[in-house]
Formats: sequence, C-alpha cells, structure tokens
Amino acid sequence: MILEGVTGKMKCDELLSDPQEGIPGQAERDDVSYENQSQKYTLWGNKDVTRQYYKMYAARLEKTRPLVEARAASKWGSSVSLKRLHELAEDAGRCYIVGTLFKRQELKPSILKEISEEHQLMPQPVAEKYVSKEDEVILEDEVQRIQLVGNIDISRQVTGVVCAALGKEGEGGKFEVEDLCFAGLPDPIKREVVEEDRFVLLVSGLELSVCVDGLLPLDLMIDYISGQLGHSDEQAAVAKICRVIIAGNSVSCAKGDKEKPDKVKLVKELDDVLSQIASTCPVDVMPGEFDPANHVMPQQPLHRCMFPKAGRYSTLHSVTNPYECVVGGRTILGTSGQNVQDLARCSTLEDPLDALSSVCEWGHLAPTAPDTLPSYPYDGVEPFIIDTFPDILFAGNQETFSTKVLEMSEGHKTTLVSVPRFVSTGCCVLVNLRSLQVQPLCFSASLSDSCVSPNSEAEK
Amino acid sequence: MDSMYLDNLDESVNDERKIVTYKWLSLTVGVHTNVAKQMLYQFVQKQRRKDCHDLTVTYIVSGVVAGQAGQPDTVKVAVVPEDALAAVKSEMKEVVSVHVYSVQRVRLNDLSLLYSSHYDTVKEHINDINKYSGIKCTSAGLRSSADLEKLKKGSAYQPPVEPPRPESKYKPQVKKEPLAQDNKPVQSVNKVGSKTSGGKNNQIASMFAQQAKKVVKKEKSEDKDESAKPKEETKSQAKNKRDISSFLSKGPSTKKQQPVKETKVESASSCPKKTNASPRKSPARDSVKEDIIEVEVEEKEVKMQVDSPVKKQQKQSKIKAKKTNQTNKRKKEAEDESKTKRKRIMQLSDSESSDDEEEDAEAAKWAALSPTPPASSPPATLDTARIESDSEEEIPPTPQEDKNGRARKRKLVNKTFTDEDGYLVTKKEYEYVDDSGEEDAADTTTTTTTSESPGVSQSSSTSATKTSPKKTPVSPQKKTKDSPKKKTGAKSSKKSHAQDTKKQSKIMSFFSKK
Amino acid sequence: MDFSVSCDIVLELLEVAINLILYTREIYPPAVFQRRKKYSIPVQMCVHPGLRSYISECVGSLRPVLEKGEVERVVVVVLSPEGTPVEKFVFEITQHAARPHNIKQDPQLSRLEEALRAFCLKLSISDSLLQPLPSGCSFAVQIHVPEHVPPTLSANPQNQEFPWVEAEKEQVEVKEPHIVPLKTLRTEVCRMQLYVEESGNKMQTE
Repeated sequence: MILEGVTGKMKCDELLSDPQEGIPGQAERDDVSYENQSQKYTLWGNKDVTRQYYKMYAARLEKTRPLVEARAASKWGSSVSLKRLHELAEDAGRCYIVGTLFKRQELKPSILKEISEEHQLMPQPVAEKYVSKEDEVILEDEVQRIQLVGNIDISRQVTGVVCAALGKEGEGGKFEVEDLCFAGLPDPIKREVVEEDRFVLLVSGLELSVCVDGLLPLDLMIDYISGQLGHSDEQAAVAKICRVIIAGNSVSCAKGDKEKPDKVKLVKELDDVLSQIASTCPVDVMPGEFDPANHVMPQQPLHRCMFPKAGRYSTLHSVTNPYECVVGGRTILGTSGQNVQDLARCSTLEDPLDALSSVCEWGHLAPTAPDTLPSYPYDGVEPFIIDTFPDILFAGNQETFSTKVLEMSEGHKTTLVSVPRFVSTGCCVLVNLRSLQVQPLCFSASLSDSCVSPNSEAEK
Repeated sequence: MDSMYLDNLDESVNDERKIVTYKWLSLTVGVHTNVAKQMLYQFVQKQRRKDCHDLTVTYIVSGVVAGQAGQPDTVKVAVVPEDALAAVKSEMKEVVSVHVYSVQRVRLNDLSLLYSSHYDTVKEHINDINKYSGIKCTSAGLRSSADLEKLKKGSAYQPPVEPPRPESKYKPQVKKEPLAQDNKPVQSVNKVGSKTSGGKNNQIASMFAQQAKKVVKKEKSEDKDESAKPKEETKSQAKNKRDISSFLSKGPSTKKQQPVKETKVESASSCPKKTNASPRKSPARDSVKEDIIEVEVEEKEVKMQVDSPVKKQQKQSKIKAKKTNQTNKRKKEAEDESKTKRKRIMQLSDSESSDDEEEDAEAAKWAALSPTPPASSPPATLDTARIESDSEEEIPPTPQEDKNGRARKRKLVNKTFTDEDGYLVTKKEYEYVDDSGEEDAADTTTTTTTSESPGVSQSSSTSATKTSPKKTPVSPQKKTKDSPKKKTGAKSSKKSHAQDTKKQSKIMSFFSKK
Repeated sequence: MDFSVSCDIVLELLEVAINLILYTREIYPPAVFQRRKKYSIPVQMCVHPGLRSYISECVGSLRPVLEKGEVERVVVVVLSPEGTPVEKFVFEITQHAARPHNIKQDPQLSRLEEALRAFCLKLSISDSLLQPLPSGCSFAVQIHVPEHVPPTLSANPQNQEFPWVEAEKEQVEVKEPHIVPLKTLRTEVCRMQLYVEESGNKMQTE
C-alpha cells in the first residue's frame, strides 16, 4: 500500500511544530516506462460514417472465429465437431456451432419502432433497462441464424458476443445448448515489470459542471498528488505515484444540468486543474460520455486547444476512450464506463465487476457496439476485440469503488477495477504496478462526514 | 525573517480577518509548503499562549481506514475542524500525518470557504503552483514553442489522403511525384506575375505540373493555389485594368492558362462521375480516377489553352480555385452516382448550381476559344459534368463590394446552355449584378481579385463571365468583341446574344464612368 | 445614463449577499441552504422555495429603480424576536453607467468576478466582527431612495404583487448604533460599500 511504512519513520504530527532552519527538500517524482498502445482507437484520415455496420460485425466474427474455435476444441475435446450452421440437420448430433449472438429484446429501442411511432402505429415505451423475460438469443454466422435455447442464461448474454455453442439441433429449428464457449483473452506478453512500488492513480467523474460540494475535495486531491499535503515522508511516498489517468466526464455530467453550464468556463477550470496536475505528474485525460468530444466510441482525444495552459507541459496527454497503455511493464486497459453501463442496460450484469468479468470472458471490450452503444462504422477492422492481455482492466464513472482479481482459465490473472465518480464519492483509485494491489484514496471535506468507507459515502 | 511572518500573519488573521490557508501562505510568502504549515502552527501556539482564543484552526488528517470485509484499506485525507480532530483520528486504523490546513478568526460553518479563500491566489500562481510543493517532477517540462507549433499542426484537421489503388490502370502515382516537385516553382512563377510571354513552354509545363498536382493532392495544393491565385489574379487583373495592351501582348497569358487548365481538368474530372453508371465503390478509387482523367485532360488542355485570352484565364483561375475547393469537399464526401443525380435535381433551386453553370458556361466558352477542334465537344460534357459535380460543394458566394463601390446583388436569371446529351437546358441561376443593373464582367473580375476567398472570387468571376460571354476584364475591351465570335457550341446562342447586348451596354457604361 | 449592465450585476450580488447574510448570521437553520456555484466559488444559497422566492422577488422588484440608478442604499435589517432592529447590513450603492471601454478592459469580467468573490468572502466571515445574535431573529429588506421614487414604485404594475411599503421608524433605527465596516467594492460598473450598524446591546429585550 502506498503509505506503508511511512508512519514508522516520521511521527504523524511532525508538522505540528515550529519551523526549523533550512529549506526542506523536494521529493523527486518517480519515473516509469510508458507506452501508449491506443493507436487502433484513433480515427484519423478516412472518417467515413456512411458505411453500414454489418462490416464491423463481419470483421468481428472473422477475427474472433479462429480464437473461439480453438478454445472450443480444447474445451470440449475431439468427440464433438465444429459444424457450420448450414450443415446442421436433425441428425447432426452433438456438435458445436460458432457465431455472433443476437439478443432480441422487446424493450430495446428500435429505429423501426421509432418510425412506426411517427406514423402513430405503436408507441414505444422508454426503458432504462432492456431486459425482460421474453428476451431471446439467436446465434448468427455469416449466412444463417438459429435460436438458442436450453442451458443458457439469456439475461447474462448480450448482442455482439462471438461464441461457440455446444449442443444439438432440437425441435422447431432451435438449437439446444449444453454449454457455451467464448474467445477469452489472449495470452499475456512477458514484460519486464517495475521492481519497486510504483503507483498509477485512476480517477473519473470530476464533472466540473455540477461540482460544487466537491470543489474542496478536488482541491485536496490535486494538492495531495502535487505533494502539498502531508509531511515530507508522506510526500515522498506520494511521489511514487507516477501517472494519473483521468477516465472521463471531467467537464459534464450525466443528468441534464439544472442551470445551463458555461462550457467554456468549465473547460477553463479543467485546464487549470490539469495544469496543476501536469506540472507535477504525467497525466492522461480521457474523454467521457458527456465531455466535449465525439459521442461515438471510440472517443477521440480531447482537443489540445482546450488546454492552453496545461498543454504547455509535456506531461499532459490527451488520449482516446478506450485507452490502452503499458506502464512499468503492466498493460492497463480501460474505458470511461460507457461499455459497462450499456452492458448493465442490456443484461443483468449490473455490477461493474460482473460486467468487466464478462468482458474478459468474451474477449471483447464493447460487444454491444454498435447495437446499443454508438460506435464508428469500421470496415474490416474491429478495434474493440481485446488483443493484449490486460493486467489491469478499469471502467470509470461507476457509482462505487470495487475491485477483484479475475483468474482466467489458463491461470492468468487480471485485476478488475471499478473507478467511482469523484464528484459524488471523493474517491480515486491507486494501483500498485508491482504488486497489482488496488487501494482507494478518499478525500473528505465535510463536517458531517464521519464514516470513511467509500461505499457508504456513495450511498449518501 | 522569523518574526516577520508572524507579524504578517497576525495582521492578516486578526486585523483583516482573512482565512489563511497553508497554501495561501506558501504562495504569498514564498516558502516551502511544509514550512508554511509549521508557521501556521507556530502562530496559533503563540496566539493561544497570549490568551487569545479567537482563532479557529482546521487540520488535515491523512491516514488509513480499515476496509470493509474483503475490500482493501482506504487511504483517507480529510479536512477537519479542530473540534472534530480527535474523532476523525480515532476512526482511522493508522494516522499517517496531521498538520494545520488553515487559521482564521471566524468559526467556519462551511468548509468550502477554505476553497474560496485561496482560489484567487491559486489562479494567480497557476504557472508555478508547485514551486514550493513537496514533490518536483523533472519530466514535467514546458514544451518549447516550436514543439507546440508542431503539435498544433499535427492535431489540425488533415483531410484523408486517399491511398492510391494499385489496380488503377492509370498509374496515378507515377504522375504524382514529378508533378509535386514542380508545384513550388510554378507557384513562384505565378506569384511573380510573369509578364514574360516567352518561356511559355516552361510555364505550360509547370502549370501542367501544378494543375496535376493540384488535382492529385487537392487538399494541399488547393490551399496554396488558392492563396496564390487570388494574388496572381489581383496582380493580373490590376494589371489588366491599367493596361489594355497587356492583353494584346498576352503577357500574363501563361498564368491564365493555368487556371483554364484547372477548370478544364475539373470539368474533366466531373465527367467520369457523371457518366459512371456503377455506384462508386470507394472514394479513393473515384478520386483517383478523377485525378487520372484530370491529368489526361490537362495534357490536352495545355495545348488548347495556350492562346486563351487573359480574362478567360483569370476567371478560370478563380473558378478553378473554387472548384478545387469544391471538388475537394466532394471527394471527402464519397460521391455516389445517386448523389450526382441528386445534384442535378438540386440545381434548379440551388444557387450554387447557378455558379456551377456559370463556370461551366464560362469554361465552355473558353474551351471554344481554343483552336483545337476537339474543344467543342469536351467542353459541353465538361460543363454539365462540372455543374453536377461541383454544385454540391459550392458555397453560395458572399455578396461583394465592387472596387468601384457598387454593391453586388444576387439576381435570379435564366441561363440556357447545352448539356452533355445535347439538350438545351435552361436553369435559373443567381448571378451577381451591379447596382447599376448592368452586368459588368470587367468590374467583377477586377473586384474578385481583391476578394479574400477564392470561392467568392470565383463566383463573382463566374457571374461576370456569365453575364457577358467572353467578357474580358476591364482592360481587354477589344477582346470582348472578339469573344462572341470565338464562342462555339457549348453555350446557347441566345445567351451569347443576350450577353452580347448586355456586354455592349456594360462596355459603354464602363467608358462613361471612366 | 445606461445602468443596465451595472443593474444586473448589482441585483445578482444583492441576492447572493442576502443569502449569505441569512446563512452566516444563522437567521435560518443551515439545512435550508445548499451550496451553489456563484462567481466560480461555492456559496450557500437558500433552497426553501418560500424563502427563495421572497428573496428573489425582493431583489427583482428593485430592477426598475436600479435601472435608473436611483437606489442610494439597500439595507438588510435583522430584527430581534421583538421586532427591533439589532443589525443593519447597509449596502451603499453607487452605480456607474457602463462605459464600453471600461468593460472591454476586463473582457470576461474576471476582475469584476474577483472583486465580487472577495465581497462574498468578507460577508461570510462577518460574524467574527459582530456580536452574536439572539435566536429567533427575522429579517427585512429596506431601500433608501430619493423622494420621487416611491410613488413610481407603487405605481409599477409589477410591484402590485410585491409592494414596497414605507418602513416604520422603529424598524429603521438601530439603538446605540455601532458601525462596523465590512467591505468596499470598487469596480467599473458600481461602487458598493458594505457596513453593519449593530446595536450595542442585542440581547436586551425592550
């Protein structure tokens, strides 16, 4: 943990004393290797939004099919064989088929229904969650589709996941499923991990547009990272934070603002905040769902012109959402939370850690894109397929902090982190790159705030 | 020094009733943040020893709070008033540090006042806010201005560069490279405003190169050319205005050839778009095809346009500049056959199309001027094609002030011309008309040179050209008389007649005003 | 003389100031207040609908008078439970006609905002300068205007809902006044001086 051993050396009330002679020193911010791996999320050059989305699904199936087939073969052995949908017949027997899942949900907003609404044929109810008991799951490959029934938890599946289904064709042209198999994550790359304790700070949801009560905690957080708070030993420990990743929603918040916010002023405030952090620590700022960036995934970096003061520092990096980087030999992959929130809407994976576990299992960062999650229409490429094993997978702008270590089938472990909204919780997350330990860091400036746990704070 | 800060603090806290935070103190006095905290503590102790108990103090407590079952321990950093200090400390599993946050005379009900109290000081010192902090980061260097410039350019929008398709039989790449090199010298030649009638061949070649490059790399060259063009137009037109004889000497003709070529090229490019029955597969392929055809047409056009009159070239150049702009935009939009069709329909009500038509008519007229026989047919196709291809991107031209102070007005006029299939098409178009009600091509050409946006200049130039077919700029008055004769097939005779008569009145008015 | 710019700024400042006085002097319990962002800093504003509308109507009805620049003083009187004034927060307002070149020097009004922030901050810590109030106090807003204004004010149709009445003498004068200057605000648009007249003996009942 970050403050381990600090109390041992220096007394806690060290600074409750008279000033001494001499000028105290400054701890040196620790350096760590860094590589931005998010090139595949940048959209530059040919931005053609007139394409249809089928190409994206086609690419997804094409790229994931070999992975799924390999995994299915190793899981179910050679006794069952892979069959294409068109080869299925009544007497095909037990076999497995590979395709993309499509979940037919009544409550999912549909453009056709919207149009029919315009013609006043049938009104569409507005739903927060699209899950209902009548949902169906259909497996589609390049040419055919078949409905899946049987041993399948429909509520936990979403559209867009490529999987292999073991079973046999049953009555009524439906496939009776025994088991499912997904692509999973690729094998991790052996990298040289940093040997000493180095920390990455994950924070999200600064939401300057609604942040009023949270201004002082935000100020405290900036001071803490800059080494203004605490005594010198604590500041030396804080100097081990070698990177700050701001995971979205720095400017705007989800609900409609009560007073129309002056976005220019808010961006200036953000510029000041980033300027303070960037002058002392490398910082990566990701756009969020409601930030002034493009709406579709993958969101492009916030433009440099928004940060005239902070942009002067070479430590400020404006990055994409999703964001992937290698810091100190550890692969960190994460989003500002849109993919997790969309999964929560389309399925019963409401706990962000559940959703992130499923993401790892499926090997796809945002399977609901482009169905319910707006996405750029890719042609022939699918950047959301996870092609590097992430040591840390995070999702920003969640309601509470939580963390879990997920063990994949081959024994590889990945740490899942749900980063809470800072404006409501005052919490950010510290990740130790060496040990992959995760610790929340909370700032409090409220008189009534006696209880500390971030979970109860969020409930307030 | 030791006692001074205490006195200052005394003054700030007791007299001015300021809320003094450690941060404010550190930035104002210029001491290390930890020293500031200690100063505050010392001040408080001193005041209390003096039995002055009006001060309230807030502290920062940082420590570790035990996590709930299964969850890791939380590091908590809190601002607490003095009376809550003990309670907060007891909640923590481990207290790491405690120090003074602020000192004030007032009882703080609202801790956010602490934020307000040093807000202004922080903003003032935003650039070196961490000068006195406990951590310094050597890698956080300020970028040099050269670096910033480079980043600015890098993050500026660069239109997609279409990769050349290898299966294209026209081998655009081969042509692209040599042309690219010629661009610069060509431009400099143009900018100089060459009066030399000699060296035409070089200029033709260079113009060819420039145009081809322009066609191929529309984005970059367009900008350069457009900036170059207005300049050269200004020069040429200014010159023309003054020196009628210069027209006869065909001094700036080479310059004008270039724009003519460009317009021709543009119209050529629009040709394939129009005639292609199959939907486009990709923008890249289309643009490449366009490029190829343009390059080819250029070759033809170069020969054709050697002797084009000055005025035509000037106008063409403006048209070209506008067209490159438009074609570029069009390319970005991934044209479709359907789109082209839509353009045709839209033209009737689209003011932009009127400009297109003007340009087409203009181009057609000028094409007809060339001595080469094939000129008549391609221009016809070029016209219509160009209309269709360019209408979409044309920006409605902004009204311009005439150099002579006459404001331009947009007027709906019927324009008749022959389209590619040989049909006589009449379209309603907006064109710029002077206040005096006359269509003054000469004036417009001159005014357009002074305009800043090539689009605008083009529009005005096109309007000028439209109003008086073969209307020459102010100086070459004789040329206008010649032009009607030169006009062939592309434009309808009606138009030319009408324009002739109009032109004549215009000329007279020009003289009278003079 | 165009006082429209200064009018808007003064009105907003008065609303914020009244809220701050009510919060700081604990005339209403803190639960009635929530932080709002004004002038880039959090200030406590009242959220109780009745009180909030009263304050905004009070301030809003001053608009026609302020637009003509005829307000001399705005006074927030804190009345003891018996109804006698124990404290008077006096805002002496001198409006300047907005001159464009003055405003241009401060294009985003950042300096103005800074001055307003300082004003609010000083108001917030005013209770360190004043004697404590008895509990159960109430407040009233009074304005001092030239002679010719009251008839026009009452004639104003907008003010029919919210009429201004002439204050009684008992409610205006503070017994044993003791002046405590708080803050002077000097900006391009207005000059405002805030001081408090407080009664020598607040706790004493009449």
